[in-house]
Amino acid sequence: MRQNRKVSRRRSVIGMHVMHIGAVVVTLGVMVVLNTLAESSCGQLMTSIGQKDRTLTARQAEFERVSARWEATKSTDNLNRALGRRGLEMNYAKAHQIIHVEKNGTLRPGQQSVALARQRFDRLATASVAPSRRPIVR
Amino acid sequence: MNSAWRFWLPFFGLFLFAGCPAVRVVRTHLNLDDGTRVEAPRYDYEKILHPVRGGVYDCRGKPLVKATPTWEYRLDPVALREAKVRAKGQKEPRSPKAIAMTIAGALHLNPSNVCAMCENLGNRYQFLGVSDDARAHRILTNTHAVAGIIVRDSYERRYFEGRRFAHVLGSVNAENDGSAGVEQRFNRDLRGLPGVERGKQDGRRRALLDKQVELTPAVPGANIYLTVDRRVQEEAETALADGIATYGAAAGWCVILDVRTGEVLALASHPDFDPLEYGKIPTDLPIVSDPRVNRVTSFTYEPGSVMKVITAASAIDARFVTPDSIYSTDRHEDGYYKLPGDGGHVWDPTITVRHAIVHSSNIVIGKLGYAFGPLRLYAYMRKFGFGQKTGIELPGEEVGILRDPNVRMWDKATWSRAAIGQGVSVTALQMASAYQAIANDGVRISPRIVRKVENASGEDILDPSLRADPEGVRVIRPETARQVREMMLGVTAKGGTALRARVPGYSVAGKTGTAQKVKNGKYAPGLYRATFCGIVPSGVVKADPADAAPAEARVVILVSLDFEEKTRYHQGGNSAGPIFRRIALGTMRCLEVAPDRPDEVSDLEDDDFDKLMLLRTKKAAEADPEWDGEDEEWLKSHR
Repeated sequence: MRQNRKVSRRRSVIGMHVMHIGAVVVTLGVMVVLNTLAESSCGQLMTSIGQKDRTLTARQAEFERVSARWEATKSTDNLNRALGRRGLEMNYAKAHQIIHVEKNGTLRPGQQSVALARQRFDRLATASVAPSRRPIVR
Repeated sequence: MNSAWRFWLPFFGLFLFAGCPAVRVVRTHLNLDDGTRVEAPRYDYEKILHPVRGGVYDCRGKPLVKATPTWEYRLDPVALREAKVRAKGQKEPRSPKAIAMTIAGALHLNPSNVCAMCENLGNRYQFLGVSDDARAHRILTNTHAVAGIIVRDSYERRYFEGRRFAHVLGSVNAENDGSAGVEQRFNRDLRGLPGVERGKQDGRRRALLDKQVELTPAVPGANIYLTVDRRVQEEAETALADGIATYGAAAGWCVILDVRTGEVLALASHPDFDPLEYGKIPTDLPIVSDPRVNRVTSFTYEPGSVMKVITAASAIDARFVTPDSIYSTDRHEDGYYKLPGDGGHVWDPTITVRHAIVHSSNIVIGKLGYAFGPLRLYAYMRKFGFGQKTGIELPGEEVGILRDPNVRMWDKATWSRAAIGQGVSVTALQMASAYQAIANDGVRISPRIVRKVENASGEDILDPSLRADPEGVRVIRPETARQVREMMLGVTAKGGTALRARVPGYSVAGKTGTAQKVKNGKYAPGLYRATFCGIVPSGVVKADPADAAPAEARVVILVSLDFEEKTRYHQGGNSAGPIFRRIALGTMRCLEVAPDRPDEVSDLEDDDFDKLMLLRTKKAAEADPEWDGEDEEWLKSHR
């Protein structure tokens, strides 16, 4: 009995070892599988990032190209050419046709347009005849 | 024997196994190979990342020049011949001629030229062109449409305003280094720093991101923000070009300075150049027709009568005279050495300094300068900035000629004539800067053209030594400056020498200059440089009598024309004056400066400015070539 008891203890120890080793092996196996999966996922991500990176670079380059073309289109010579092509004759407004108003709503001092308007207003006010309906702005 | 053989066999095997690689290693390290071995595929790679050159912007942030991504196309005629290109749904491959026509159409090339390139099988890397057209790129990379095309990503320098700003921006050469202007002066900042990428690549030469060893990204070049205003520059260049054509001048230049900050708002010099063709300019041109010369900063000349203002300002500031001091107009008065004449003008026996400025009397200002003395005159001229660099951030700035009488006393001719702008040489920028001091109540601020150099991180890295000193240097007293500006007002008034420089609605304090040119060491009769330099508004006129102070002076504009032939427009008031007027009108409108003479309502008919605009539109319409845009239908069919 005693001898038998000894044998069974040794067997249980071996069984325990086998279980431990098995657990380690299984764990290692799982880790390997997980690692493989993670690596594969990383690889996919890497490819995707690379692709997106290339797309971003291409888009940025395209944006640069389009904005450069837009700037070139807006250049003075091109605008003048475009106006000429369509038979448009455009002039800048003259000083007496511009009224500058400050941010607080007051008129900027010393403006030709304001002086002209005042002159005309005074002339109309002092005129003996009633002012005509003709607009005062030329 | 058998057992010995059996014993030694494994050792022999081991020796063969280890010895052959050892021999190979030794041969490789001692470089004993005869070069016939086949290289293993290279999985390591190293790539230099080229930085993008920075851009240049105007004061409003509008790009003037930028590096734009483009595609460079080259043709390999052998590959084109060998490839079988089949359009979708077609069984027959396209002929080389059809492919050549497709390439020519996409890049707007002459088809016969492209066909000839296809025939030239000896050159397998023929340059086709550079394009930024995405549609053309799609066609040229479509394997169902073309073959034999080598595409390389590249950057092209785009000068959005063409020839305009040529002397400010400069140019870049084939090595992407600046050759002139800001491109040259700030080349190091604009270039950026190259980066490097090292790592592993697969058999198809694709970089493996997870095997990257080193990635040092390229640092893009800094962006430069200038003080020039695109709209003001346009006004200046257009008016100057028209003026040169109208008055038959060989060259002309113009500079506009902001009175308060000394910043250059516009800088024009004619003849000019196309920045993309700078390298093609002949190098043996005479200076008067050399387009590479920036006549505002790199060209010195005798200024003529515009210098009289400086002389008068110096003498008044030193309390040597007042504007109302009286001088005799007798040229042969004792005590003076060979005074310059007044070109046949008959004056009253005596006139004031004020009148001498208004009517540009050589005799009176010559006498004034003579009596004032070289030492004091020289000291003031130095304070006004003559004989030294202004420090503008453009390459090749000239110093001018202003001899120091403390070292060697001026000869008597210089003594009597430096006061009227002879015997001294200045640059246009120096003169404009001196007038800026008068406009700014006597404080001279060194002219600047670069406001900011912004690196990729958004930091301003402009060298502090290049920054303008907002405090400036006091040259003359404020009351002197005001007195001088009041005197100068008369120049554009009735009876003055520059009535045609009057700007409707604005007071102009200016001075004309008509300087004889020197040829072969002598003054050439009939050849002149006409100049007008003016301050708008003058800073001495109140917009409204109720105002506490006069309207502030805003800009200094200097215009010069260089005549190589005798002409009746050689006087500053007749040629430079009207150009000044146009430029000043446009500048005031661009800067939204309110008139300081609002009651002086201009004639409401079409003025010169309208005529100019009309002319410009007509010119543009005439110069417009036939519509050369892409053939939309054709492109659609090949997309």
